[in-house]
Amino acid sequence: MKSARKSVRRARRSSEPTARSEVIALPADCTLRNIGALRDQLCAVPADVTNITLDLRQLERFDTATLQLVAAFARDQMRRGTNLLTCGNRAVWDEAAELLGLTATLAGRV
Amino acid sequence: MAIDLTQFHDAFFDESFEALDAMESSLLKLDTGSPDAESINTIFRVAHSIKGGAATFGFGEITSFTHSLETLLDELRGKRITISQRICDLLLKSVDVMRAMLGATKGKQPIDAQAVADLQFDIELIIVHRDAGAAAAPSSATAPDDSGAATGAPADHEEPGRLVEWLIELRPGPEFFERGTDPVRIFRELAVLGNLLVTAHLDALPSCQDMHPGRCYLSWSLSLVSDAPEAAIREIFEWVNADCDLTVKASGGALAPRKAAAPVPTVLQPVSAAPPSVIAEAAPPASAAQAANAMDSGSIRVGVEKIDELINTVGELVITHAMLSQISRAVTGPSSEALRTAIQQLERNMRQLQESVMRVRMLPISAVFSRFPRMVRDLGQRLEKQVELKITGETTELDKTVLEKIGDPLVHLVRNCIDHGIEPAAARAAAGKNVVGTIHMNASHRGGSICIEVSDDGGGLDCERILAKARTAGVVGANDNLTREEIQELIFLPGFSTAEITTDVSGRGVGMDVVRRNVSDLGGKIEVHSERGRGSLFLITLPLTLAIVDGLSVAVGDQTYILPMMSTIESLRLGPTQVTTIADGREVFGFRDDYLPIIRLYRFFDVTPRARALHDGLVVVVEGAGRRVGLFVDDLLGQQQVVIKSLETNYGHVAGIAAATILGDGSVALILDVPDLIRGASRREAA
Repeated sequence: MKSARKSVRRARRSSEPTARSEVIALPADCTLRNIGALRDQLCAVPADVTNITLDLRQLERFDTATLQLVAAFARDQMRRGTNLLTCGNRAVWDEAAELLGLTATLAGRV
Repeated sequence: MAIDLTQFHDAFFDESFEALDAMESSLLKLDTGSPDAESINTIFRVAHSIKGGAATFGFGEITSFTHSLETLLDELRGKRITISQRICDLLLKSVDVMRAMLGATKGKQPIDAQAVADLQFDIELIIVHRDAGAAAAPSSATAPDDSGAATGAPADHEEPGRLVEWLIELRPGPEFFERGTDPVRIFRELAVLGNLLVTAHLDALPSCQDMHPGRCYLSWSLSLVSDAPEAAIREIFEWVNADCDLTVKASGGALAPRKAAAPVPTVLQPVSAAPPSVIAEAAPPASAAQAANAMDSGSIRVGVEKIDELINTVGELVITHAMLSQISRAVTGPSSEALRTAIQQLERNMRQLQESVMRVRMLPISAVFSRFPRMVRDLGQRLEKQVELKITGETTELDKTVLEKIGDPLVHLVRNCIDHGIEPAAARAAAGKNVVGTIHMNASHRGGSICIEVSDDGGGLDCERILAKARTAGVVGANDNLTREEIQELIFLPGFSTAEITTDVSGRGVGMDVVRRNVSDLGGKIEVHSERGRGSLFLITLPLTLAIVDGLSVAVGDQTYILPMMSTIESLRLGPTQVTTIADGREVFGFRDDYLPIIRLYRFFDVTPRARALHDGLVVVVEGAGRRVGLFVDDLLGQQQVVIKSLETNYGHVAGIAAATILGDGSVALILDVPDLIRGASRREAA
């Protein structure tokens, strides 16, 4: 019985897609003038990615347009079941997200 | 249909340059101790307006820089950063950088990226370190709640009032971001007023793939618990309410009283749908209020070339009228009297039209004077002198072309006043003067001319030193006796300077020479009156306009020449004994304790005269290039206003000739360029 369960578990594991991670580094200037490039960068993320990390370490400047774009991206990923994480200096990013009421969306909760 | 936005570039640049002038003026008036809120708002509006326009037209560098500047101004407006002298200097530098960026962009030249980056870095550094230098302004720290909303800490409500929950609905138009508006900044300001809860609506937000990333898809519901009045809340949205749907209600369903002056538009006007007003729309801060002001004042912006075309046509009309008038004199018969009456009526109407059209080109001299407060401030700081600038008569109007060309000479004069005129504070104190030196700029109408005075209460011209220098340079003979006025005139000689140290401010002796030449080129003249120890006065006299000139018609052979009245001093008939021929064959005559050379116009222009003997013709004493000469002509024909027609545009440059005009009989007369004529005659004699 035990070996049967093990074999089922093994079979399930082998049929699950392999976890695939992607790191998206946001450039220093994420404002309206560069937003087209950022969207292209986000849209280029393969559909089979399961974990996406937004790397904010280089980010120096951003605006609401950028947060809106990332919010749309985050919502797309949430619907797809992708985990979305952020790394780097999040203080200013989070403060802006809170002020805009986008905290939950950017965290992939809504 | 896509609109070609390049057609609006010129308007954007013109408005931006004007706005920067206003910004600079406000900055110079700013009292760093207790800054006036309206001044800061004006400065903020300018930055915001330029940013909006630049974003619309895709001038990325300007948008980025003004964004940083706007952030700093926003902090200043919110009193989160105190305005210090350093910040004031930084903002003035920002004006320079923005001017340079706009100038470079307009001229399709590369922007000095390093200068921009350096200043932007300084600005952002101040923003980052705001806490260290901040005023005791309240924090707007926020903390998330479960609903994803943000809350703000209560702000500066030291006097507790009745707390009201304000419900704010903000539905931005799709081009909200592209017009330079950033909601996060608005919400940050709101959070200062009280407890803020923000709910974002994402219903209209498409997928990342489908969205136009610059377009605004979000809308927000906000709840603000505050004792601030509705006006204070609306003020925060003042610069954006033309680009969004905005409702502000007190909770409980009752509408709070609205600010009558700030109606909330409900219809959005995309740029592409309304090209004529694209600039106003591209500039959100200016949009509502400024557009309203523009409508109120009933003013429109018209290209100079259109006005010049109009002036040219009126000029043609003047000539046609003169022709008709001349023809009518020869008409006889029953209708002749009626014809002459009609022509007189035409003349009255035409003069009125001419004056009206000329007035269109007239602009207040404040457009030029406004650059000097900054210059005096900066130069005073650099030379470590305390200088106060007084400006009067700035509403005096003069022709746009004159206005554009008089700026540089005035800059030279003011720089010289600060560098050479105003003494250092210690020297002034020792002389019993106020340690703060004064430069006074004044403009006024006198007769048909404009007088611009630049005076200082500094040390005045040192006549002994000027004379010694002139003798050393060989400009004045060792035994020549010059009057005080003549010595003071020497400062206008090319290359003449008494400055012992040549700096980049002055001292190369080119400034005053250039001043006189530029003023002469405008048909004007400059005089200096100075008193040792008490200061100097430079008096510039200019014609009101360059389109029409008051002239004296003179005949030489079969030609008619026009002498500008401003250059003309007197006409006289010389007796045979009044003329002296000197060693090199030059003829001179005595005139008011002086000897003036005679220029025979027929020789200069190579025409056959009716009179060759001096006593058979007339001599007109004229002044130009700092000298007086007698022009020998056959006869005087009369004084009249003539319409200036550019010779260079239609033909080419002719020595001694400024322009041409058409006389009443249809013939062409040449208008003399007196300074050029004098210089040309001197060269010929020297050769």
